[in-house]
Amino acid sequence: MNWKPDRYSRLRALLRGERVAEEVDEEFEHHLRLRTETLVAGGLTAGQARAEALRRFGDVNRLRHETAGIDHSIVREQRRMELVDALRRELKHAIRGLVRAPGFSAIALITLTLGMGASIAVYTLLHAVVLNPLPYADADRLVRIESAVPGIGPGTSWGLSPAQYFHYRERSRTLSDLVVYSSWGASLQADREATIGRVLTSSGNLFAVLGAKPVLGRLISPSDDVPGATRVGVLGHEYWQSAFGGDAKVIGKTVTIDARPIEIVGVVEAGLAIPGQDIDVFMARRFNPEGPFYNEHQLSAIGRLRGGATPESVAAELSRLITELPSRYPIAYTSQFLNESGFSPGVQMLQAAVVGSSAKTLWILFGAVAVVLLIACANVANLFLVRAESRRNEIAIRNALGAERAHLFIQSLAESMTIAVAAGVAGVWLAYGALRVLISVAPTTLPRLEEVHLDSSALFFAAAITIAAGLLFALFPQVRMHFDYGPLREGGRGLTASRAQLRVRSALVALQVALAIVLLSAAGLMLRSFSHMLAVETGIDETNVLAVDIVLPYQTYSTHEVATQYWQTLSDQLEALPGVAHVGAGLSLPLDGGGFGCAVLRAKPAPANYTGCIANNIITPGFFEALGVRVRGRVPTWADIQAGTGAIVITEALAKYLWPNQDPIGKGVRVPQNELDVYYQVVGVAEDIRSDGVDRPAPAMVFYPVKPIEGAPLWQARNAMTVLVRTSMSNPEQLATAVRRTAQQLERGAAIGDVRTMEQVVRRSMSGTSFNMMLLGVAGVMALLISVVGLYGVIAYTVSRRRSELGIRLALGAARSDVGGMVVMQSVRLAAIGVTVGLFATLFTTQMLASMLFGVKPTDPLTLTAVSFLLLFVAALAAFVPAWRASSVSPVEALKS
Amino acid sequence: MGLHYLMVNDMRVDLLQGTLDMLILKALSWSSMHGYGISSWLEQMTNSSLVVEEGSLYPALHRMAKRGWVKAEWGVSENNRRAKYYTLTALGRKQLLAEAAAWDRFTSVIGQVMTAQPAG
Repeated sequence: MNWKPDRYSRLRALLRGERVAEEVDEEFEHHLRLRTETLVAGGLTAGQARAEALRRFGDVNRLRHETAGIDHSIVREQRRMELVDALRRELKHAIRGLVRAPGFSAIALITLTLGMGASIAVYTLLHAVVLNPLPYADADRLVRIESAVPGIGPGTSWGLSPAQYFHYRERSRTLSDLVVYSSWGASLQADREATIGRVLTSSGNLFAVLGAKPVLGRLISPSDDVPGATRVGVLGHEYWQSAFGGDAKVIGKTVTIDARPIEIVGVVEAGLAIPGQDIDVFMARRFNPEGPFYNEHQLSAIGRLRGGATPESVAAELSRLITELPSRYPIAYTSQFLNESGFSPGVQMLQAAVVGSSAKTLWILFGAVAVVLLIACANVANLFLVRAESRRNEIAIRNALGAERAHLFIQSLAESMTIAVAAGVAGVWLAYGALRVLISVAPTTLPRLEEVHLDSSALFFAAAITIAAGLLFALFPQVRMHFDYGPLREGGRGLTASRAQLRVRSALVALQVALAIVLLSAAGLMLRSFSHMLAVETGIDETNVLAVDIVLPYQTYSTHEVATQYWQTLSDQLEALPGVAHVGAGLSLPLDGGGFGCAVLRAKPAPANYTGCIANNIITPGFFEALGVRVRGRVPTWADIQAGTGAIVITEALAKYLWPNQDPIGKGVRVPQNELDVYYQVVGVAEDIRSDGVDRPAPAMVFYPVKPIEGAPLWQARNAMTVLVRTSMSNPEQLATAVRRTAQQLERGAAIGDVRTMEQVVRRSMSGTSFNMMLLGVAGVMALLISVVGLYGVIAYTVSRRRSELGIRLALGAARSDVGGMVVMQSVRLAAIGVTVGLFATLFTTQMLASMLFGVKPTDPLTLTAVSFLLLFVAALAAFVPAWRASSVSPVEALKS
Repeated sequence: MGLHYLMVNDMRVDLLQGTLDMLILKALSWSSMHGYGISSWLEQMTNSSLVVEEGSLYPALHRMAKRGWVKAEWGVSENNRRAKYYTLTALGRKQLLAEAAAWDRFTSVIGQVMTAQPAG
């Protein structure tokens, strides 16, 4: 070797840093100089030689750039590998450290996983339902449009009429498009027997406005929405899967809707949901611009805002357009009607309309689990503080030996991040399971449930809280601890420092207890609300009653005679079945989620000033017996129906409203469809039924017979009813097949829908409150458990620190029970501080719950007292083991150590 | 590219892609050299008939260093100048053998074609 390696190149590189470009230049310059010297030796001048050397070298700039680029990539790769190695080293070190402390690691991991899992699950729910924009194109430009009729009833809103649809669409400048639709439960038949499904008819622009795409074939278009166009249907995605098995050749096949075959022209993409409804088949309404136009407002409407329009500007414009309605559509709209009803537009952003009050509820629930996460993090931060404290000596020694402070921090960061990431991953897994449970028990009133998935935003959230937690646990002990040599000098005891640490830990525990009080109070209030709801007299006896929806083909059952005959025969045959006590039917059932209509009423004798529309139901004889509703007077029978006596039943609330302090029996009631003097006669008064909700007051209601009487026409023939069967068996579902068979034997085309028991119906109606109660309860229990663990930790630590003091006390004659009692009192005292703070916080925060409560005030003293005592009791329990240990300290041992 | 070529009877024959790498490895198999040393070794060996764009040795050398075929180290030359010396590694030696074998095969196949006689 004719060269020596440069011993200081490495050191120089370390000192100078990587200077790639300079080294390349030096290398090139060496070459050029040698070449120049050789050329000069060959006879050229210095200048000529240099020029020739450069020529032979090539494009110096390009080559320098290329070579430096290669060197840079080498440096990058080296650095990357060093980083990976360092990370791997730190991770292994951290894991080993954590495995050596299994108690610490297990408690930290479990606590944090619970907190994270709960928050991720509820965040996913919150995001999908409240935060995520609706799954339509440009969803933030869509508005829901209704017709407010405060004159009919305060807060009452109707839909739109076809007249309004044409008028708004033509004249509005704030809306770029308007879609109207309505849906109903129809009998659907694909291949097998007819079922009841949901069919929607709309204006032709529905899919264009929502921005939906077909998966097969085409979607409904404006050309389908003209009078006389062939009726075609588009299948909803789920229905296509369930009824046609996802058959790719479904285009051209037919689906029979209400006994009419409809050709299928397309299937819509998955995930398209019409707000609040699962639609099986979409059809065009085939609106007729020529009319005839009536004063009926059944259409739901969605508008697309144009340009810079806002809901307010749309409402202002529509108010003006409404004043033009009487002149354009005189039959449907009179000025008198507009004035009396207070007819005005209701416009709000579609997302707000869909989400409604669920937003507030979900934010509160999210707040609750966020509090649980905070409590969990406080616990784990405390644990890390203890761990750092116990390694004080070790760290002080390493410090003295010159270990970089940064490196020590990185090591503790590695440990805390390992726990945080492990908890984060476990939390996601836990959240996945929790979400499946949440979705299955979620109340039917919670919108957009079908959009709830553990998606990327949930994972982002999980990553965010994981990183935040990891940083917190690493920084928290750093902030508390002083890197001093104190512990070494003090001989390893470090009592002063640990007293300060104890104060911090106690404060943290007190904070946790306070937060737990808030959550437990909220849970307690919900629990009391729920129990109040359970105790409410609904007016019905929901045990042993089966409810079955039946839809008859309406071409066959288009007259009252035929329809009524079916219901009567069905009732007779069902009542003949063994185990059946009573059979009745109704258009809607109490608490079943369906509405009860709202019709203006005329009464005779007419009461002094009353306005408003009254809820009504259409029933067959046997309805009240089947539901177990007590009726004063008598109930109409099939004889009444056949004879056309016009006998009806009203509720107590309506009786009090129409004829206070009078006997309503014998008085008359009717819907003013014409000017004849024919009235239905009240023969019975039913006990009030909480039809709208267990927590809502019982409405004033009238029950009309399924067959109207002469001269008081009401409505079309009822080909769709819900049949109620009261049995003596405790398991009403067993009758379902028998009911189905009987119904279909009587009429082959009868479609049987939702079979449910009244108990299920009532339970489902309370599912909103029970859901909130369950979530807040789980959060409260988690908060309680985690706080108790924290409390135990502090007390146990205190006892271990005071061993010698306790030993002295025992040696001086204190009773063991006294020492134990002292420890328990310490725990209770610490908890009491937390309880006091918590109660103050509760008084403020539970105000938010006011709308979710029933029958109990947000500051209910009974609940708050119970929760406080529960926590103090649990605090005493938590101190049990440390107290026992303290009282069994051998004084001699304690004094010796 | 045409920056590396052989002058044969005043005719220019371009070097194939990758041949330069093989030549550099061969040079280093003799002894560790710096870039200029490799350049003059090639000049010497081919009696100046091989024309190489001298500067392009350096990207080739650095690339081979990245691949682990050569090791680069700063040193001090005989004239007390700082220079970067390149040494063949075991991996580089293996690579040289492989490329030499491939070159042999290449030349023999082409040679077969060029020396083929028409039948009859």
